[in-house]
Amino acid sequence: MTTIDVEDLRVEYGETTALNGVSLAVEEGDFFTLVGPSGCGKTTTLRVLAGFEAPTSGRVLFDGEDVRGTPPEERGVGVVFQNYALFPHMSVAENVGYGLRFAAPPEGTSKRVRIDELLELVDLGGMGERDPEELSGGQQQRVALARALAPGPRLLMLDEPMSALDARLRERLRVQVKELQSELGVTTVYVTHDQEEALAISDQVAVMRAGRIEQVGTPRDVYHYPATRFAAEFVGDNNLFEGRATNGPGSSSPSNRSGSGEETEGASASVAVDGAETVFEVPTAATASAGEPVTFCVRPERLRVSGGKNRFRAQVASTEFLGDVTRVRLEWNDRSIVLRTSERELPTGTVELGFDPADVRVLNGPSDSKHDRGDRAEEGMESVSTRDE
Amino acid sequence: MRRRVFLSGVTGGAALLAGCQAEPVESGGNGSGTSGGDDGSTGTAANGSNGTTVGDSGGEQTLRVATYPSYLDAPSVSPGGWVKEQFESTHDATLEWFAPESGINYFVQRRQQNLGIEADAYLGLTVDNLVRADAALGDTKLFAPSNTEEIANYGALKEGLSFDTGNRVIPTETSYISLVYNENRIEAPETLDDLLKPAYEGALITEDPTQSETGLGFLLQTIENEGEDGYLEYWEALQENNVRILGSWSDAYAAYSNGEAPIVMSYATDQVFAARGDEDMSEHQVAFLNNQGVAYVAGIGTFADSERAGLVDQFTEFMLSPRVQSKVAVLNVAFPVVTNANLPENFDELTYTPQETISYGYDRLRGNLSGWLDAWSRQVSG
Amino acid sequence: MVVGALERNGLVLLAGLTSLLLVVTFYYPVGVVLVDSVSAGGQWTLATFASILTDPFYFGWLARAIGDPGAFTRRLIEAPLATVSGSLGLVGFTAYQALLSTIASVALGVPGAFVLARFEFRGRRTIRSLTILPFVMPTIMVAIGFVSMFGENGTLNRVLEALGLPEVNLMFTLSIVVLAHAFYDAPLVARVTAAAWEGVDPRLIESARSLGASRRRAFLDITAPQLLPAVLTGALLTFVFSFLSFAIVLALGGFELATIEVWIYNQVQQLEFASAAALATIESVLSLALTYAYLRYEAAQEIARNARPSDRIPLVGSLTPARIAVFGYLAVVCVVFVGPIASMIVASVTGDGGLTLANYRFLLERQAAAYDFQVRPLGAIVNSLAFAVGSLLLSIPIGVFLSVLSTRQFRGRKALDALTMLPLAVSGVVVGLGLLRGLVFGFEAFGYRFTVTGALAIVAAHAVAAYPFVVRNLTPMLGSLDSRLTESARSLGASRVRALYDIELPLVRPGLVAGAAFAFAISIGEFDSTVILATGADSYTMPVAIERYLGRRLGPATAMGCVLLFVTSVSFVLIERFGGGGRGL
Repeated sequence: MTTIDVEDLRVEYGETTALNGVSLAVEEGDFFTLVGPSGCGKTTTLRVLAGFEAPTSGRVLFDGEDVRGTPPEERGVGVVFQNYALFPHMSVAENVGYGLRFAAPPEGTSKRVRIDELLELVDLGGMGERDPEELSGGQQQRVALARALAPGPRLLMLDEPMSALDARLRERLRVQVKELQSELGVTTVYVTHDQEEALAISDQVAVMRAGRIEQVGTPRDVYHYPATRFAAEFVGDNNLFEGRATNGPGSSSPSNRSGSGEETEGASASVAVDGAETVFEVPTAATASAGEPVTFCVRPERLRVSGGKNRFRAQVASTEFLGDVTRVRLEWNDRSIVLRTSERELPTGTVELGFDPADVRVLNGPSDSKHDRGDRAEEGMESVSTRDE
Repeated sequence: MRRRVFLSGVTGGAALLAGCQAEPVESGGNGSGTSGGDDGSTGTAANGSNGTTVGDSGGEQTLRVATYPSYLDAPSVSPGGWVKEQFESTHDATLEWFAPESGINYFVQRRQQNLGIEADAYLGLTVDNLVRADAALGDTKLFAPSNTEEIANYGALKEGLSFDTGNRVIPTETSYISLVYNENRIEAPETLDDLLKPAYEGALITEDPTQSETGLGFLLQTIENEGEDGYLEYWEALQENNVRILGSWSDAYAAYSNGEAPIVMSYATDQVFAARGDEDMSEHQVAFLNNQGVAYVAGIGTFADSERAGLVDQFTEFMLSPRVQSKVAVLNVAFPVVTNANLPENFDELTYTPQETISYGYDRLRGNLSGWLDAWSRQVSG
Repeated sequence: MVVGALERNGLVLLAGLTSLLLVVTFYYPVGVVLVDSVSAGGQWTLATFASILTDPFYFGWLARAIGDPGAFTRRLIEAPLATVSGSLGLVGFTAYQALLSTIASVALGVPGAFVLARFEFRGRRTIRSLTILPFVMPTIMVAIGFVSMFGENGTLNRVLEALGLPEVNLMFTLSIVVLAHAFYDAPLVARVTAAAWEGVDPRLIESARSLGASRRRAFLDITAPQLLPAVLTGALLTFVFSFLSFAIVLALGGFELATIEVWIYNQVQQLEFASAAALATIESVLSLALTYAYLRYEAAQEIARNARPSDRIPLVGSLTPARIAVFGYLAVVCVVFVGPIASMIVASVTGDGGLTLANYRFLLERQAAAYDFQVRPLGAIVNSLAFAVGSLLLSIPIGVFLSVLSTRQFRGRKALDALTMLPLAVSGVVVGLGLLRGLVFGFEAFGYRFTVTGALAIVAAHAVAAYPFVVRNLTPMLGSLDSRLTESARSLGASRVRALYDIELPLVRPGLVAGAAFAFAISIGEFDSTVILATGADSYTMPVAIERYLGRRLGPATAMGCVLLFVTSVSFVLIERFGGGGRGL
């Protein structure tokens, strides 16, 4: 199989920059997902990998070999598009077999057998003679997948393949896709705007925004240790707090209400949240000295009612029952706070929330772009936000 | 499937490419264009001379004569075939016809581009052709004078037909431009002024003088009568009386035949053809305005480049011979140019001659024609 | 191996072929003529243009504005109305008659589109195929047909007389010229509009109706906006064709209704090449500017094609207002379109003494006894068909290539699009003159003089005239194809050309068939280039035969015209049946 290396890719269309220095490495056999909002450059990255577009600068290496100038048909990539792009004038079998016109089927099998094999693989045995438009969305998607896999590509790429399907089907199919991928061991690049899907399906996730990669890591890493404010907000629900350090790293805040400072491992800092009188104790941010801005986040499931070291009182605004958990929206100092709880008894009215410094992720880092900070400084007020999927 | 298309394209291409040629610039430039014989632009060239074109260069010569297309190919009035057969049967030569669509202008343009002329003579050359060619070419001569003493029967040429004093054109056919009208519908106008009367409102179809000899003849008649200063005024009045001016003679004659108007500007030999088709003579009456007829004369000009001027002279002699003149007059529906031609009995009955003939010679038209035409065109279409 | 290389370099090859063809049989010949407009005696000069632009004969009051803007402005202030009123000269009149022709063609064409797109009746597909017929008719034939239909003693007047109605005199008027232009172009408007009409999604109309829109309102709000681009395509082509009209004007209207093209011909006849070239340049610039403006508009339109057209209404049934209107329209069609053709057919079998087959006998005699330098009817038929097939095989790849190019995004794309339409916008007289000077006379290169004549040259010239129709039919359809289809094919291993052949072309097949029909029609009807490039009677076509068989009597020519009609009608029905029916133009 194949490794993919992308080095400092830039794509510009006239004045617009679609990719602004993207680098990433996909390991052999990995399921690698590009996730981000629309317009972030994930599809452009895929198109450059496939050879549909030439980068303005930067390199793409397949197995260490620069593929610049190699046309799409010689790259050995299989692509599944959002709308599947099935050839409407060909039957299902002809669609699946199209790539076999140019690549011999694997040793010992015929084209016919290979097509049947692939249709079986995607649970569409016996459907070969149908026209694509006679199939349901999910079936079409699987035809597209079988078609992409038929010539035995070095790299499989899927561009939002689930977005046209309903939620239940989506979940079923993504399990199927993942299983198929691990079974075949084909290196896969997957593009989605759905962070939940990204977390569920991937070996590695790259969070993209505005033509850049914000963070690359395993789904767990990205979820638990978001590298940037954007990553923190985009992947899963999150509660963001912005404030200023009241002391340097390592010392304890005198105004900290909790007396159990010894529970905190390593150094910690105190942060006065903007617009509120509360000061929270957080794990140290290496650079934060007194007076410097600090942004940190706490996942909704890490907030506890009447628990945790840092406490504050918030007003319940609404609740959403999701079955396994309930999502509670609360208001605190004109900010919205999200809490996920699996307790049967739901908080009402004013409740005391809390969290431990160990559950805090401090986000101040070099990749938090200057641009964003400037915006915030002007707006001043907004410092905590949550994001729905 | 696709491969087969490519293949058939290739083999087909070879055959199609036959019309594309390249020859070294030196010989194509100023030399005689006719030396090659077959340069692929003539009707008869294609079938060669019984397949022996190359072999027998010793004896038989090839004469290439250019003419206007209808001389060769019109349904009834096309003497080209007869002339070729007769000439070849009486001379040790092959006659090749060549009829470029743009007529004499084709050769003027070749000369302007400094290219060889691929014919020895032009048959059907009129005075306005010659004037226009000379005006466009300046000092470069397209036609060479003929030695009329070499041409038998030249002495029998009717008087007043030779329009070029330099003898570059030997007349071979003539007629008079006249009105043809339908006597069931209208009484013939007698004078130019009659045409301006309400009775003749919308009655006359004539032709664009830049495109047709009949249209030009009528224009020249108005200039002759109204003067260079007055003819435009006459035409203005004519337009007010709804004269119809179409493009070519066929456009006009077709409209007349369909009854769009009772009078058309045509030729005084019109009935010869009508009689052949058993047509109703009342629809083919001939009349002259002011008792005048403008002479239409066309003849043979020898291209200055031709290396076969002698053969051209033989051809001219053949064309002027009484036998050929008699036959061609009927075939081409025109008058013979010689006095000693034997015409069919009814020819005189079917043709008309005006009391007064208006002839415009080369010298009169040279330097004036294009100005007259320009002024006329601007006024009429303005 | 060879095929592989062809596939890999297919587009490069096509680009080369297209450039070569266009340069050799169009740009070079036209350039050779147009350069005359700016050179005199070896010197570059704009004097010819200046004298034309400031001559009121050509430009009317606008010429005074160009000639002396200062004085013009002063006069404009003193007496604005008097200054800008009056004639716009030859150019103004040409544009005026083209505008009238466009209005007439749209008025006659759009109802036709309605009938073709929304009604079902026996022979609908055949009639639809035959709507292209006017395109194959040489102007001589149309003129003959119109005179026999609308002339003083024409069919129309005889019918009116029989009905006791007053006669109409249309001959030698602007009306009959405009009507003849509409005869050519209304079917074009109808074809392109019908295609768009069939593409209107019935669900949209159903939605509008369910939201409370009346039938009329739904048409105005939903259907009409989707038809507009198609109607404008037809209108633009009509305007450009009528703007360049020549033979029809002279044969039916007369020299007093001269257009720019008539004047160009007049100047060429008099060997005044400089002013002919300058006029032709002005003519082309105006046509091209309009084309460019249109293409910008077209690009801004979403072309939605719908797989499921609305159900058609049976034409025969109870008399609803719609059916009454349709029958009224069909009566007009009978007069304007069927009339001239039928009158010509009747004329071909009538003589002085009633019915006769003499004219057809003439064709047989000519076939049997023609000299080598005369046109044989059968040879003309065979040549016409062979050249038409040849120009089809040539214009389709070229059209496809230019369409593919046009669907890519790059700077100056619209300008290129407009340039590909140039063969429609250049004076036919000038093209003919250019072919004569550039190809028949030949050009010098590498110490040789190359002449290009004969069948290949004719086919190439026809292909140049035809490919813009292929492009116009294909570009909107190709442009609306999902690019991911091609990309999928390529990622599966297909080269660009292979993807084009396997995926795109099958999907735009209706456009391809429509383009092919036009290419065929243009080639069949072509006269000027054919007669100039022919190497003799053995490469003449049916239109040339018709022209040659003209004489004092129209009979033989009308008989040949009927042969042309018959041969091409059969061809079209076959092309469109075989090709699976055409949507598109």
